[in-house]
Amino acid sequence: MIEAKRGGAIVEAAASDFVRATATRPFAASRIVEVGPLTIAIHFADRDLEALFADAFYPARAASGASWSLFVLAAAEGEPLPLPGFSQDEPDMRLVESAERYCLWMGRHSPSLYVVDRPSRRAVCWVTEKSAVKAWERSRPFLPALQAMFDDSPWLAVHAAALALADRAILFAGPGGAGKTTLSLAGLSAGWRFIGDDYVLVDTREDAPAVAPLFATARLRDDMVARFPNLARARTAISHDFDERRHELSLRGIPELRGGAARLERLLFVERSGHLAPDFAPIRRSKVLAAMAANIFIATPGAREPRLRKLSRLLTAAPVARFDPGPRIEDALAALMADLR
Amino acid sequence: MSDPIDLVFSASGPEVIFENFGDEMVVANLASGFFYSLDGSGADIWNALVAGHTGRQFIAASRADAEGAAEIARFIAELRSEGLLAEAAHPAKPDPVSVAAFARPSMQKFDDLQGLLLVDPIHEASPAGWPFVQAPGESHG
Repeated sequence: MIEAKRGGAIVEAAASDFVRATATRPFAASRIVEVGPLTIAIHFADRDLEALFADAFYPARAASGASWSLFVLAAAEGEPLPLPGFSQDEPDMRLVESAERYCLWMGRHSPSLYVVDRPSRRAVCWVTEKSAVKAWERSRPFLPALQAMFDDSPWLAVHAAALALADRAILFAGPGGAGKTTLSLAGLSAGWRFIGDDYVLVDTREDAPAVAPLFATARLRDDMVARFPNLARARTAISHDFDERRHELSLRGIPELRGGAARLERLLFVERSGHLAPDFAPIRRSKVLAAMAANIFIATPGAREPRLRKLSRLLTAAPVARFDPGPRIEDALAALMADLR
Repeated sequence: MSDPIDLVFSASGPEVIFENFGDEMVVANLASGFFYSLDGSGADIWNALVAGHTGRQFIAASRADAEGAAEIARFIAELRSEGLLAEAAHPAKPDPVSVAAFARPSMQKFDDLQGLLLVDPIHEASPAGWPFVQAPGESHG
């Protein structure tokens, strides 16, 4: 259950003090990364934290100053959470948010507390137990905090994959297991620009909808490795979340993947319905909206109404269709290429 | 007690938001997590009600027959029972109701959020990680 409370003046004051004090601490390592339109300076309190999270992001292309600072630190053993009313013993999520601040304790979902202070454009991720950070979380670090950083912009983090050809992008939404990852990585192998296979950023302005990378990561199941031998150089680790082997990829070293946003031409809801060839079909926007909004609300709690408004704008701006890739991925990519022309 | 088709309504609160995609109307109840797609004359009825018109005004404007009028009354009752409409204190707007040709109103309800809310992040998440749900046959080992 999610407990959401707006306001909370005491918590907000403590959050503001906490962020300010954290920013004055020494940090062991820093990275300047690019997350969509934002340049973020990420400061890690120790090398373990850097090793856990840093490779999940693309380095910033320009040497310009960072627009946000994110401080990542780990709690000492037994150290209480630094916000009043927040406890490590609380298994449920706890959210306090306002226009200025966003404070989220993840509870049993993840050993993390996020504090985002919009006036100072600073955020903190406080990890209570480094060894408890799951591999899936390392592949998409700080997601709720990043979403909160985008709340005062038209950008939105969504659960979707995306590919582009010549800066014209297709967004693949839909349920897990429908083939979004396979499709996007096969596209990468076939010369498409890979934008993401799990979470990506969308610019929801109606006159210029666009997609941009959020994380420089992908995850391959064991049975997918042979299909993508060209990604072997991107492999960083084997993880065993839930006893399933996954090959963790960091794509930050692949220069052709860097780049800004690509114009969104099409939003496809990937859903297998038994077609023997790739198939495009009409779909109701309400179905797509409900599915995508549910994930946004759960994976990145808070600001439901403005985030839903952004998602609605996106669905108004981009043509939407249902897509069954069929059994052959090569045919699916050819159909997508033809659709873009 | 007033006949519900004579009542004036508004969206039941800031948690109820709606979006017109042109070819369909979507209403979201952020408090309950349910989404609704309004079909047939459902979108016209919704627009008329949240603009301050009554169901009776809509029935008159749509020229629905007795069966159609009953459908409209049933649809309004359904919107109320889903917590999407609340009685408003202001009088009905006297200006004309804008309405297309009448078609039986209905709604489709989406419960995607409810499904995710019920996921146990430790025991039921898929290998892709929370908040994704295990597919049938998938296990944690």
